[in-house]
Order: sequence, then structure tokens, then C-alpha cells
Amino acid sequence: MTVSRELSTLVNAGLNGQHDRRCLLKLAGAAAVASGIAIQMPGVARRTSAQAENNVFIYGSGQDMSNLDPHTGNDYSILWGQRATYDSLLRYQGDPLTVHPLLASEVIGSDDATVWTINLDPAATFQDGSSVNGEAVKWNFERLIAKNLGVAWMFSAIMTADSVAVVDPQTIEITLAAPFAPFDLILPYLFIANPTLVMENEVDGDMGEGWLLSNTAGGGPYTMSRYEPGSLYQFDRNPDYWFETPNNSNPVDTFVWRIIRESSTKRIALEAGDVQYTDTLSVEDAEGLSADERFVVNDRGGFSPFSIKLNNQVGPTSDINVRKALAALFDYDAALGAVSDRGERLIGPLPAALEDWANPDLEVINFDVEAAKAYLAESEYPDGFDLEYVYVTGLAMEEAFGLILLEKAAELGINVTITPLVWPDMVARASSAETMPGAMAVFASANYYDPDNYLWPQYHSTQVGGWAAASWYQNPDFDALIEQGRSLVDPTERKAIYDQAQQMLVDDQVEIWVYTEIANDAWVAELGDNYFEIIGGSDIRNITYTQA
Amino acid sequence: MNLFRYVTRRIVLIVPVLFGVSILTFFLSRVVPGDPARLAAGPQGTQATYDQIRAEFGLDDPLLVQYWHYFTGLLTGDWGNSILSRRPVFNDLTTYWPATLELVLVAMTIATTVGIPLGVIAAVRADRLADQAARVISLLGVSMPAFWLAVLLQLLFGLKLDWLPVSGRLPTLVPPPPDLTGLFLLDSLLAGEWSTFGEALRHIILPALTLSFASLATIARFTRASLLEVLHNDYVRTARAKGLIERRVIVGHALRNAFIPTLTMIGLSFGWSMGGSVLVETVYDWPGIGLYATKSALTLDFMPIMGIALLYGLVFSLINLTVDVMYGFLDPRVSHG
Repeated sequence: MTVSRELSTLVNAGLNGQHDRRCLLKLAGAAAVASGIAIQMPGVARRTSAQAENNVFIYGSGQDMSNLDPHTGNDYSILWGQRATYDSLLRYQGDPLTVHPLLASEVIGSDDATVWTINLDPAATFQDGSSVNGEAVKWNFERLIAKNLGVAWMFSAIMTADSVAVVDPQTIEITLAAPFAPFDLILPYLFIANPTLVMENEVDGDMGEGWLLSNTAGGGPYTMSRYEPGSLYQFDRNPDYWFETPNNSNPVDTFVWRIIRESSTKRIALEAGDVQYTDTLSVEDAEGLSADERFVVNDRGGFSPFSIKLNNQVGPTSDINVRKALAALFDYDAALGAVSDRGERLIGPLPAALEDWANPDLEVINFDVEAAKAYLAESEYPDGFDLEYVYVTGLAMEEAFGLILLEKAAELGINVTITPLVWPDMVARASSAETMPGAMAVFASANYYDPDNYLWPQYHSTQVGGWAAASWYQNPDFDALIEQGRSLVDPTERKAIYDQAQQMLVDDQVEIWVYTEIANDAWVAELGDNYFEIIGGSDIRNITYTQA
Repeated sequence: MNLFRYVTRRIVLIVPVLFGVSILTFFLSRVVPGDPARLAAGPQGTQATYDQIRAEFGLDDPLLVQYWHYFTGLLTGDWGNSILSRRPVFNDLTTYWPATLELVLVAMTIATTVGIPLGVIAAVRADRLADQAARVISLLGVSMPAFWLAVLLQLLFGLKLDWLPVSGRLPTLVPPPPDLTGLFLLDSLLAGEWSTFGEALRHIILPALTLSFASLATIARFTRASLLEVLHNDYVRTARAKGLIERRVIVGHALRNAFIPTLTMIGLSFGWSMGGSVLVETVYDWPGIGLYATKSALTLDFMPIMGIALLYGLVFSLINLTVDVMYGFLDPRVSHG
């Protein structure tokens, strides 16, 4: 008490300008004493820190979630925040992931996958207690398409703002501009905001965009209590939440998204009990944690395939035999070794984890230098050529893959130049066939559990110019095939179409399909073995965590 | 009065410096290859989305028009928005900058309060055991990578001894003090939140120690070298002959005259620490401006890059001004006229 009074006096003296050397010496001494006390009292931190609280789930991630706007923000970290604070029409759950009711009690597609009727749950409410009705849902579709950012690309290619009709307060009907069989699979990405609340905060016709960066207006199971960009985001359970998540009678009370960028710091935080889950660890840290029974390290293959995109339009790689030669030159085992075997060989364009759709029987080209020589001899470049391999600056694994290619290519007279670029430069290079290098390292992103999610954005002719379609593959037969795949509802018929499409891509050797990463995520054992959900981050409402 | 006029004139001169910085960073950012609008459009972004983003951020306007909008925005406090996060740059700077400032201030406090005495001891006991020890510390300071030292300190004091937290500015569930300056130590003191102050202090110790080490070493070496130069001067001999105690001779006479090069180095170290804080911020999960700058640079996010350059230009100008003013206090021969 005396110390604090003395400190208070000193601070006041300092603020009032009544300072002399003795005063400063006192302050310095007090600071030193305070430092000593601070170091000596680790128990204080323990009592106030999260790890001592029951039912607090802290996720340590390297990625920020600075824009929670349901219609302009989108990446895996933002999705965690959006799923906590907003409801979507449907939600993902299970293994493999399937869609389940949330705001929509029922979603019915027509036989030609063009007209979709959505029945809303009459009990659904926003956090202010107002009802989620057809008009509110329609407004959200309109805002998403008007903003044309975030996940709008999923919807704007198949519908317009006029596609949505309110049949009655609990029913809407959506007439798509083109058939789209997996429409229900993208509905979990449309988060429904409260139009009244958003428009109350509109500034200069921005439809609340500025306000929604740092505020939420949903009806989700959590409310955001702290928004500290670059540091952490805290969400507290909404006690009046209308929906009871099946199989989770004890959801977490507080969910914290904490930014921890360095792998070693994430590992220490997990070991110290400061976080319960962490992602994007280094291979070394993941391996270190896997030896400790207190933690679980993910061992499931992911949904983000890595491939070396080859320019199918310009330069030597426009020659199919060159592409086949490069595919045969690539040492796939060495590539997996470069990531300490934390990956699965990619057989064709779809990841193995997409098990209902990936065709494991595709006959792909394997590492075979003699075969490579034979392919090259049949090409227009039998004596070799120059090839530029571009990768993201700082990604050591992508650099290693380039070196693996370079090593064997030299034997065939192919001179590989390895160029690191920052990501925006790579995106710019991929925007035209003329500037696209011969080879570019790209991880494809995944959003919904359907082959359309991979094949359309990467290989349909309309998608060239975007980085996902950096191969500049343009094949009308392939286009027709996957357009047909979108229009069919029957899974068996669709499977046959997509098997054929995969084979066509492999026959054309559009690119070098390398591997899908086993994500280096780790979590405390109390969360269980099967916690990891792979597409677009998990949903906090499915998680139970109570510290033992 | 001379000093007041001098400071006013120097502050006025900062304006054209910042104007120059704004022109330079603006045009440099527009001539580098790469297009953040394509990145912001997303992986499956259509041409329409791309065009919309370019139009929204005025990227299709002539460069001079773009600069005029930027410049007039600066004057009204609108420093533009990040094209990727869409957040206002000015808000981001006010969010991230105080964390870095607090870290650098504490680190420089450690560096000077330890570095200067270390240099003095090394000079006074030149080539003896204390000097050799100081030399080893200095060598370690300048040669040990900050990120490596950071991990070592985390493992020792965080995980092994469990004395200090390894990351963040406060425990996860402890809310920040009321935001007055953004400096948690100061804000918690002003708000009388002693437990928060204690936590903030515990959290800043390791990152500040790490960041201070290189500066501490440099300051110690500069102090030693400068002090050695003056210790054999006549006025020091005279002071001793007058019977002054040794501490008074060293601190009151020798060090004061030898301090100008050290002061220059402290000013430079302050700047270097701000620029070099990114590694420390990364390892200790310190939400400062270094990380923000790195991320913006890697994604070619123009507006934050330009905002950071302006902020750093201002800070460096103010540091130089402060150092120049302090020269006059240390050595009356230095005129501020």
C-alpha cells in the first residue's frame, strides 16, 4: 500500500512537472523494484491467464482476421470468426464433411439444379432477438453480389441479385442463371447479417462496410468482445443463442483467436498451456510435438493440392511432350522427403482426401528419367530449352521443389532458372499467357467438398487470368464436360463425368501434380484425435474443451 | 529563446522532408511490378471484380490525380485504406505504432542504462578483466542474431524456469488498459491498474532485453572508445590534481565531454531498433508496426507502405532533432543559433 502510494505520488509529481533528480532516482528505483516483483510473481499471471479458466479455447494462429464483414472478408481465419458470430443457411460438419441445417431447415434443388427452394427455420433469430426472414436473406444475397468481394465469386458466376425471390417470410426461391449441382455446398459460405442493424451504420452508401470491419451483426453462437487487430480476437458465448448444435451439449464459453506468427513460439505456447490449438507449425516443431503424448499432431492429408503450373499456351511448355518430359523428370519421392514426408503424392488434379471424387486409378507419369528423354525427343525441343520456375519468396519448400526439378532437368539440357517473387508479382505474371513463366509453384485453395471446386477455377477456359488457372489450359471439350458436371444432380452420373475430366487433364499433362500437404497443426490431447477439420477451418460451435 | 527558434525552425523543415517522402514513396510504389488489386480480387476473382477494385482505389486515374487525392487525404487525416484488409491505414498505424514505440523505449532504456556504465567500466579498467568481460558481452551483442537470442530466452525464462511469459503484451484474457497513449505500461499506471502494469512489465522484459542487446553492445563500445580518448587529456589530469573524487572526474568531466559520439549512436540505435524490431516482434508475438510493415511490403499493399514511410520519416526527423538539441546541453560550444 505504501509502495503504491509512493508510486502514485511520484507519477503525479512527474505529470505536474514537479520533478528533480531525486524524484527521478526514486522513480527509477521504484521501476527496478517493480521489475523485480514482476519477475518474482509468476502466480499472478497464472491466476489471470486463460489457461487456468475452464472452457476457454484459445487458437494460436499466424494469420490475422482483421475483416469480419460477412460479404467482403474471406480466408480460413476470418471464417473462424464469421462462423462464431454469424449463422449461415447451412453448416458443415462430419467426416467427410457434409452440409447440415442451420438457418435453413431444408434446401431443395430442382432436377436440373437450376431452381433452389430454401425453407428457413422459424425459430431462427439474430442476436438482437429479431427474426431471420426471407427478406433478410434476400438482402444478404444482394449485398454479397453488390460488393463482389470475398466469396462473391462462388455465387456471382451463377446468379444475379435478381435471382432471389421471397415466396413467404420463411421461404425463398433462387433461380440460377446456369445449373449448379453443388449449390447447397456453397451456402455455408453466405453468412447472414442483420440488415436493420447494418443499415443503421451505413456511411456514404457503403452498406455498412466500414462498420462491419470491426463490428458484427449476426445471429451466431458467440458475440465478439475484443477486437485487437494483429493481437487477438475474443468471442463470448451468446447465452440466448437459438440453435442447439447436435452432439455438443457443452460448447466452449470463450473462444480466443490469438495471433502467434513464429512456429517456435506457437510450440512453446502450446507446451506452456497458453493455447489449445495451433497451426502452420514448422515440420521440425510438428515432429517434436508428435513425440509428446499430451498433444496430437495432425496426420490427415489436406485439401490444398500443390502443383507446378506449366504454361500451356506460350513457350516450350505449350508442347505436350515437353510437359510430359518435365513430369517424368520430377522426383516425387524427393519432394516428399523435402517436407519430411508430411504430404501425400498427388495422383492427378484432385487430392486423395476428396475420396468420393478423386480417381486413384489414374495412370499418371512417374519419375523416370529415361521416359523423360523419350518424351523430349518427340517434342520440338529435343536439345533442351530455358525454363523459368517461379515460386513465392521465402517458401523454402517451393524453392526445394525447384531445385529438385533443376537437378534432373540439367541432364536433358533444360536450363532451369529459379526466380523467387512476392505473391502479388506472381499473381501479375499469371494474369496473361505472355507473362506467365514456364513453371510456377502454386498451392490451390479449397472451399467446398466437390470436384467442381478444383476443376472449374483451375482449368475452365473462363478462369484464365487468375492465379489458380495459371496453366492457361483452354480446352473446349473439357469445358463442356465440367459444365455438364455442374448440371447433373445424380452423384453417380457426376462421378462418371468427373472421372473423365480428370483423365483428360492427365492425358494433356496440364501441369506437374506434386502433393497435398499434411497440415502441420497440433492441439492438446483433450480435444481428441479427430478434431481436425480440413476445409476452410473448423466451426467453433462443434468444439468442446474443458481443461482437466 | 535561441533554442525555441531553433526547434521551431527544425520542425517547420520537417514538413518538406515529409512532402518529399510522400512523393518518393508514392511514385516508387506505382512503378514497381505487381498488382495488389489482382491479389485483393481473390483466387477466383473475375475481371469485373478486379476492375471494380482498381476503380474503388483510384488506380485507373492518372498518377498526378492519384497523388493529389493521396496528398489532400493526408492533410485531412485520411491516409487511405489497405487494399487487402480494407482497414483505414491511419487507424492501423495508431493501433500498431504504440506497441513498437513502447518496446523500443524500454529496450533503449535498458541499452543506455546498462551500455553506458559498461562502457565506462571498460574504459576505466581498460585491458583488465572487467574490460575483457565487457568486450565479450559487446561481441555477443553485435554478433548474436536477435531471433536466436529470443528463442533462447523464451526457452530458459519462459518454459524452463517459468518466470516470464513468452509472447504477447498481456495475458490472453487480460484486457488492455484504457487507451490513452497505447503504451500499456503508461496507460495502466495512469489508470491505476497496478496488476495490469505488472503484467505488461512482465511481458515486455524478454522482448525488450532481446531488442536492447545489440544497441547495448554498440553503446558500450562507443562509450569506451570515446572515454578512452579523453581520459588522458589535460583537463582530466587537472580535475584529479584538484583532488576531485574519481567518480566525479569520470562522470562530471570525462564522460560529459566524451558523450557526444555516444549520444549520436543512441539516436541511431533508436532508429535501428524501430526498423529492426520486426524479428523480435515476430518471435514474441508483439503486435507492433514492424510486422505490419513486413506484411504490407510482401503483399505490395501500397497505402500502408506509404503511411509507414511517412511515420518513420517523421520519427527519424524528431529523433535527429532531439539529439541535436541535446548536443547543446552537453556541450555549450554547440550553438543552436
